[in-house]
Amino acid sequence: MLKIVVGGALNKNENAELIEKYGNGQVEVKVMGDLQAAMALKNGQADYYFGSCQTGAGGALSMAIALNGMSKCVPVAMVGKVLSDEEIEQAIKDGKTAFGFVPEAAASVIPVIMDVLLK
Amino acid sequence: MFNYIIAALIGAMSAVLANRNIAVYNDGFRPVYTEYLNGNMDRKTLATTSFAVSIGLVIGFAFTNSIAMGIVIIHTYLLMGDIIGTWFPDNKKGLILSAIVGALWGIAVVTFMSSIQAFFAMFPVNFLPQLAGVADYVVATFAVFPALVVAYQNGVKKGIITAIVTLVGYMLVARFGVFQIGDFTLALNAPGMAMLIGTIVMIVFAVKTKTDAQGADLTNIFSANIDVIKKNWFYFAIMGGLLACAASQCYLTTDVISGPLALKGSFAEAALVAMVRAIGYIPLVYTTAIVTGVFSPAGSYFSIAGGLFVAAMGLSMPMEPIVAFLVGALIMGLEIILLGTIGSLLDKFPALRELGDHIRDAMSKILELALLVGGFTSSFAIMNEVGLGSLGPMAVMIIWMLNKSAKKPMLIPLAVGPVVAILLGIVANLIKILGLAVIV
Repeated sequence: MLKIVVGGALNKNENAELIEKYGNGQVEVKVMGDLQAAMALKNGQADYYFGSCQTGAGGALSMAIALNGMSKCVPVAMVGKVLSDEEIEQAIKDGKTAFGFVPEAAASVIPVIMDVLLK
Repeated sequence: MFNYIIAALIGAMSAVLANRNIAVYNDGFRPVYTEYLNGNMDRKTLATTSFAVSIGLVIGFAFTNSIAMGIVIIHTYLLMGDIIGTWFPDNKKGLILSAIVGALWGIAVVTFMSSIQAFFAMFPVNFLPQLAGVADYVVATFAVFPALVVAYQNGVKKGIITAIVTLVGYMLVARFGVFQIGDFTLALNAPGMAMLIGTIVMIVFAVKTKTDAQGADLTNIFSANIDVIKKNWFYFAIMGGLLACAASQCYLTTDVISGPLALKGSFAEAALVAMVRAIGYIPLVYTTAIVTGVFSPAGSYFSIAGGLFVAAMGLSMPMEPIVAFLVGALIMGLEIILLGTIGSLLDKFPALRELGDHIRDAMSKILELALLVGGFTSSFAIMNEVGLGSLGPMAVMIIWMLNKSAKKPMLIPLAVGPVVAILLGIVANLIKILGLAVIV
């Protein structure tokens, strides 16, 4: 069972639904405030952090970066720059556990991330 | 001339604050500074990160919205300030270069914005008046957003209650809100008052919200960071003054709601919106500031709301910009003094932190739809100038839908209406020039 927290600023419930949907029953999703979610990731209560905001790198990830360090975080979809499926896979292999994206990219990046996480 | 000076000062200050590692605007970039200040990241990586997280926004968000609204959105100055300031080394030479390049950027933005207006005005079909219509529904509907916030935080039932209170408030103020005091007529502004009523209901519900989220004693853990920010109060006060002064003169805005309101001369509503938005940003801005020791050059935007309030008082020139500067500086100073206090408050009441998230979420959702509807109507108006009205909404519809179904969306939803309307303005001119216009 993967423990996933949804933080960030926008569309938390929508993101949680997508994660649930592509998690094939193998994930436990919790929607939290961004600070709480970032803390849960830090002290091991959660395995992964998802967050979105208008820019994909601001409120989406800021608390996650602040508490977990940039090395754990990756903005997968920002305004004007969406990572390719391969880049997302590589980022996860490199040990990234917190993902930030713009809400409009959620439907396209969440399936890709979940695919890799469940492999 | 005055607008060039203010823009140059804002650009220079913003770049200098970033250069001295005192403040950066991008909320996601602020935490990255922790790595830099700890010595885990070199200046070059800091600079490239800053560029990577901000440049897309400068072009895709800041400029498109500024052009569509006809007023510079604050991101255009401050995000670029982050980039410029981090790009130079944090020594004396870097400081001077940051100030110069930052000032040049400020001047470039104003020059660009004023020449684009002049450029469009030379076209056979001047579509700027119709383009401004993109924001019509933003102005018409902003008052209802507290109801949406309540619905997010406390469920749809309480959201409906808030909505009804807001709408009834609107009707009552519109009908009975005009007072005759001697020769002086005082007309309460109905949408502004309705939003204020809704906001009060929103805060009441938020305070009563029980949350099981555990608090964290961030403010005490990171109290050294707060001292670092307080040490630089003077810079922030100047920045707050400049921003407030610029806002009072419609040289800049914080967002797509208060911008159009200010341009229409509705400064009181613009100020109210800017203030509630500022409340919404407190948790994000203050928390990132407290854990990193790096603040935002705009604080949590209260000084800008202050500048708009001053503009609403209708002072004469040159008093207005001076008073706005002083008020802005004072407010920013207060923000710095209260940073720790508000931080502890957020630690103790996680519901307040959630309220901030919901305010930002609700505002962006409302903007998205309002700008889309505005995009439809203004595109129709623009294409109607060449007798092809329906072509406008058709274009907006198909681009919205294609953008939505694209694996990599080209435009942020907020930008679709404004961007398509601008493009159609150019298309309308081509049609006119090529003699394809339908004579009505």
